[in-house]
Amino acid sequence: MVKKFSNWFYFVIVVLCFLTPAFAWAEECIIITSPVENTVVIGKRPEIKGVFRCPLTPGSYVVMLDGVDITQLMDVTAEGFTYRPETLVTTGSHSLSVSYTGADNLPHQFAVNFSIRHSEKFGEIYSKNDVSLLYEGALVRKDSTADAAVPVYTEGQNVAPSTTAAYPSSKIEGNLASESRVKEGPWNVSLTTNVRYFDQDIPVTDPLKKGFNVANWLFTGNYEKDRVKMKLSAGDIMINETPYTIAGFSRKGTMFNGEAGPVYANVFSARSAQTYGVDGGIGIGNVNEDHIFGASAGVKLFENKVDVRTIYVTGTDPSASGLPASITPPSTQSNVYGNSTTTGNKQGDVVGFLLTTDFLQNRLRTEMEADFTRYDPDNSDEFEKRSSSAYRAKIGGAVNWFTYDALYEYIGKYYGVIGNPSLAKDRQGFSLQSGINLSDQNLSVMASRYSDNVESDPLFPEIVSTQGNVSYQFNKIPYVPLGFTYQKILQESSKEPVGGTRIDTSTDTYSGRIGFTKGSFSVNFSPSYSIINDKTPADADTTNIVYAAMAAYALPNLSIAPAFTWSKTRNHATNVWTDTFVYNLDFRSRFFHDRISFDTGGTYTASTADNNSVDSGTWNARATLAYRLNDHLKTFVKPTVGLRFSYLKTDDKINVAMNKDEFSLFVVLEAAIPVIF
Amino acid sequence: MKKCILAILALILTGLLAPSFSQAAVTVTPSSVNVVRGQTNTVVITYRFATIIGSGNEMSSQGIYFTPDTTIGFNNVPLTTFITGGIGTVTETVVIPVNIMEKVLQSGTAQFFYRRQFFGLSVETATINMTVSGETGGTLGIRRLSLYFGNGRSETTVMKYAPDLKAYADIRYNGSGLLKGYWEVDGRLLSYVSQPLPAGQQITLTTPDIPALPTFDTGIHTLRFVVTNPNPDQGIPLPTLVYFVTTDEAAAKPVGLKLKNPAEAAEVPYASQKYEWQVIRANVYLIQFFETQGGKTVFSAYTKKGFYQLPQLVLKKIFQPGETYYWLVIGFDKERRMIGESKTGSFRFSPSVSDAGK
Repeated sequence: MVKKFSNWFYFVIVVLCFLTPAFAWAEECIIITSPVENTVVIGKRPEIKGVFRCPLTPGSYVVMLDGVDITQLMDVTAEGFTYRPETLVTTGSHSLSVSYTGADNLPHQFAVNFSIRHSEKFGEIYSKNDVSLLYEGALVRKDSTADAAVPVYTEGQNVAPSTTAAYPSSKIEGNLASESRVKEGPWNVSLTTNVRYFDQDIPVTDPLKKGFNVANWLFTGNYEKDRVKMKLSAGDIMINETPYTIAGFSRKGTMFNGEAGPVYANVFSARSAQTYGVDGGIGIGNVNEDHIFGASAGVKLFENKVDVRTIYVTGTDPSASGLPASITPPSTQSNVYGNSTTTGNKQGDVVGFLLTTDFLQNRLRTEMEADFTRYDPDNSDEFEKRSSSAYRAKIGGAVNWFTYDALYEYIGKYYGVIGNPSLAKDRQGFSLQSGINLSDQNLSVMASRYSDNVESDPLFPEIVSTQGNVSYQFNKIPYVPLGFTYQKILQESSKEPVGGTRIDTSTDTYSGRIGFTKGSFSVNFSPSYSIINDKTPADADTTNIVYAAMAAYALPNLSIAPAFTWSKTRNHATNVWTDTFVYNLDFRSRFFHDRISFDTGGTYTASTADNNSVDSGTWNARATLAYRLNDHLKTFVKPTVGLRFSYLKTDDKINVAMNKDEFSLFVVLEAAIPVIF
Repeated sequence: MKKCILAILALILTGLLAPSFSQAAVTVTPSSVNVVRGQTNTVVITYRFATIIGSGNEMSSQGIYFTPDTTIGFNNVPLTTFITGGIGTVTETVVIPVNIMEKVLQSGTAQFFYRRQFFGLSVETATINMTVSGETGGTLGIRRLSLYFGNGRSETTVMKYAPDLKAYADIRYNGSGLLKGYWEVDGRLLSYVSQPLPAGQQITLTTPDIPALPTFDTGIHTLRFVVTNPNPDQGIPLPTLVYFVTTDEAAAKPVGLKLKNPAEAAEVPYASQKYEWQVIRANVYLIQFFETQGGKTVFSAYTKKGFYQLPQLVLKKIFQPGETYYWLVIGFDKERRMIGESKTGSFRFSPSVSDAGK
């Protein structure tokens, strides 16, 4: 009997054990049917579904995805609710929590945990693509300058004569902006690119090309696990090492970055010239011809408070070596892509060392750099590379509202680095900077003194440049910000060689700014006065006065931004004043539920001189009237039809051959096609 | 004998005076220039002929670089002009290689000359004085002009109506003086620059906020920084940037959202509160609550309306009576791009919990 009872007892216990969760589950008024607890969901925007098991009123329940209340975004019916996120949900773990007040008037809460993978094979895999298509066809073209003379620049002109606009009768453009990424475990790979198509019925100017072209691309592969990080990049890369070696160098190239705990290393190779499209490949090539190669390594010590780095870069830059020695007559300057520099087949290498410290959380930062180069500005001649060096020591930091920086630098007479062509050379000196940044006032003070001819070459003078700058900003009245800046520059030569010209100039610049801001409206006025005082017998003084005013009024469907600049320059030697007036207007508007937009941007420029050598005015404007069709078509393609206006008129009273009056009207068909998979 | 002496004297005088007469027949502009050591230099030289008898070609087979002591080098490009009515003009762009200046300096001077001898109708000689200077001294000259966008490249792709497209110009120069130039988009002058340059050797210019680079016009656009002073003919070619404006539109520039209720720093009952704000053209709003200003979010919610009713369930679970909380609202468009954001507001729940159960 006891045994029989005991068997029944165990049976009941076992049944209860099995049924308890079911009862508990069944007791909830809301059941999440998708996703299921502790499952892996394959998808990018997983649907969330719930069922009501008892009557609930709006406001008596809250559904949260990862802690954010999504209740009001759900589609709710009497039976339950559904919700599909409108954007990609990140891969990994997620939590859906439900809180409600049950029939017992007590709060209830439960959560469903799940994780997301984009596919069976890869935790994350997606490709976002945006296609732009554009057709432009001329409806009206009025051109008064079919036989106009070639624009000629004359001495003293503040604005170069405008060229006759070369608008095609028809033009087709397309662009595919693509971003794709695959991630699994510690690995991830991504590719971003813009593939472009361009065609028109007239020739294109450099660097543009007709047909398909890859405007830019970047492939990256990453591995990251524990303290080991590796990254391989190829395509349009940017190399940043140290200020005196290679910094902000953006080219076609390949770069590897590796990091293991406190030790790191970088290796890179790049095309030395800026290239457009696929030209340049992955930037690996001969460093004696047109590529650069470099490597750096370093170690971070004392919890990253100290960083010691060494770097080596070598290469050749022939980008501007193609010009002939002499051109007759001077040809029209061809378009150069991105950078333009003096000619010469430049070649060199550099070894650098950089030590940075930050022991007091940005209160006291130090940088010390020493670099040694061998550089030849033109390796086609008989002169070989020359050795030179550069040194830099910097100390700075920020303590509450006070900032400070002190810098000493020395750059040798022959210093040069392939990949950092803008570096100054043959100068030494120091600069000091400090600032006071209060909530409603800012004051910054800067002083510097530099001299050239660091090796005291007797064939050259020594020129000392001293500069001081004080800038104050007052923001106590939030709607009337104002400030001023005063700058003094002294430049003086000494030890001039026989027959050399003395330099002794002083430049004073005073500038102010005042604004008024209220809501969506703002206006700013900033006058500036500067005088270059040449104290030598040449007495080539110059006065420069600039008045600039700009305003902006922006609403969600309307914005208007006029701007005005009046620039006056006086050449004291000739006592001639030259005036340049620039009026700008930008206007944006949308109406009829955002379906129609009218946008325009235009400039009027006038240039005069009081000796009547210059007197011209130019109107130049473009405007677009567009109608968006996507509300009518209800497809994922967003088409737009529109009209584009272009207007150019030049009235030159001195050189009437430059006069022109052009008007063009184009029909524009365009479409935006987003494709995500 | 007397006649013979006179003839010899006449010949000598002719020989001495002939060059000076022929030099007077050609003038050269500029007559002197500074060239910077350690780099190639470009100089545009104009030769003007006058008072030459007859019509025909004046030719020069080469230009010669020389110091008072020695010949330094040659420019072997010939030059020809046609003289008519006694006058003629010819211009050449001379690129002076680095080694010419190095040879000059090696010979112990910084002064040298460039000379062309013309022949044809008349033998004429034109000479330009040249002085090698360092980078700091001399007249203002542009050595390098590098244009780029925020991505560091000379090409970028932006969405239609993108509000913050900026371009930069790194200008490396020698000497000092007044820089004049302007930003130009598709041939349209956008903004004018006129400022003195110290002997700092490099400046960076940025396109202004107003007028901004136009992005309302789809397709490819080209951008340049056109230098008008120093004389562009004496400098380097002007580089071009390219940007493409897509047909897909960027989110509208975020506007300020006004928080309406509860009022700033108000004390509110510890109960289900209605939070209201200014309605903009947003598809959805995100309201966020914080315990400290700029701190971690303690609770947030999406809504399509211009208000949010804090549920009682959330109130009791997350918020405490007597505590101050901060809140802000962000508006998103259909593509979930931010188009509006409020400033952070604050409120305090009253210490009383009497209403909490309602």
